[in-house]
Amino acid sequence: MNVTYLVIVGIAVMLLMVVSILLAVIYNQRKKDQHRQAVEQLREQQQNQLIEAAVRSEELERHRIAETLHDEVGAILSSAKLHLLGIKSEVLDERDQKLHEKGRELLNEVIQKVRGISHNLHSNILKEFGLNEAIRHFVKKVTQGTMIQATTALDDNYQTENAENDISIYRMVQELMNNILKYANATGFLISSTLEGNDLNLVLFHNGDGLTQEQFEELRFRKEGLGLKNIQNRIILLKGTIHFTKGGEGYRINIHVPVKTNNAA
Amino acid sequence: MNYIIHKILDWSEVWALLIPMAILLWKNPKATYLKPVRLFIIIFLVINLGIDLIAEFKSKWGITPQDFLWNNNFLYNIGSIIRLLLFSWFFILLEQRFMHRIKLFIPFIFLLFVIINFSFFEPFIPQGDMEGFSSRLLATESALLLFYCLQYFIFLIIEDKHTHIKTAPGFWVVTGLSIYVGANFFIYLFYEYLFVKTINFAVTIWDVHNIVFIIFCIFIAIQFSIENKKQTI
Repeated sequence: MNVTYLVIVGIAVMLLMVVSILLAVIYNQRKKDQHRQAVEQLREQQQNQLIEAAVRSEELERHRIAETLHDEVGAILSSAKLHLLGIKSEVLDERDQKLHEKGRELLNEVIQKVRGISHNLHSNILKEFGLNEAIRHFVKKVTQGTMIQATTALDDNYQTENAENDISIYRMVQELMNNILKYANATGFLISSTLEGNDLNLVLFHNGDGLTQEQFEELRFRKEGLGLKNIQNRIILLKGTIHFTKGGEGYRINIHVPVKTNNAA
Repeated sequence: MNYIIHKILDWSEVWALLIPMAILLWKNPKATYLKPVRLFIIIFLVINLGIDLIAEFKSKWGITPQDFLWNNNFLYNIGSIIRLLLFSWFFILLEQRFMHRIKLFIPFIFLLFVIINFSFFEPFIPQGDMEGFSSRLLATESALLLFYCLQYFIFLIIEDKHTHIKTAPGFWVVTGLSIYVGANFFIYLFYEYLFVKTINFAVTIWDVHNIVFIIFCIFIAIQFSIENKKQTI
């Protein structure tokens, strides 16, 4: 065979070989990419299922405790109150009358507390009147008798699409509001919501000491930051986002939730 | 026109190196594994400049065998040895845990081959018109570099760790090198023979060598540029 042809064919074969190897590498990398994506998707799916199960069981437990408190503890306390009221106070001496009166007051207070806790744990208002009313009711209840000036500006166009989602949103608002009351020393609080297409945007604003996004990211991994971890889990479950920012006048928490995604799925 | 194109291709061994050199000076990639490639650019700029200047003097002023440096072929031999040593170092620095011992042995085996070849079988310093150009040396070097490139790609295929191919360390350099040595293996292997038997074809086929060298230099420049981006991320 002529050497010139041998050289030309040799060059062509070698280049073809190099190109083939490159194509094989690229094809293999694509396969690896697809596999990695599938594994990631599966992991995310499993994580979501775990979070969903945890959130559901937490909600069931809340309901169970709320019902026990309301039906059993509440009933016993009401019965105790009836018995206490059955005592004729006029036959008691002055000291016993005072004790009787104090006992009645404390019993009334504990009945109110138990009822309050039971309502907080249960989501009756949420189920009957919807998310907006439940938030308004909760904000009013927790800020009553405090120095905090609370304002709610919720979008009434919002209609419940998925009751489970509403419970999660409500629980997040409860947790955030409780944190603000406990730690922020705020005197002003505003909660507003807007419905944009399929997205619900909630804004919680207060003028106390709040969290920045960095602090939130740090705290939610701590043992004591269980509430924040729960918020993050619910956000993952809802496929939403939460963002903490510090402004000139106070702290802002933006929650973005796609409210129709779960239904579609 | 043909003369100009031919001249541009003749000098491509020098000007093509200025492309990665410019990116090197502009972006200054600091990855350790690129150190041999940086040295390759600098050393080969000097060697190739010598090769082309000797060739130019020879064609213009008719340098005779009695003159000093009348034949540039020994520079190709020196370049071949340096190229293999530098790219062996480059592949070792990539730290791919694959055929590691073989990669460490290759430069020593190659040096042994060089000593034996030039001590007993071929002259290192040119004595005739084509003497000094060692097809055996350059083809062996190409084959060994091609082996390095193949093991690099095989490692990319079998490794478990996910790396994005375009940003995998050394990917562009190895791709450029594999095209360069892949195309040149047969050119080097038969070049002595072709130069004696069909000089016109030998001159034409050397243009292929120059074109793949330009491609190689462009790929090195891409690697320098990508490595700089990875640094800034």
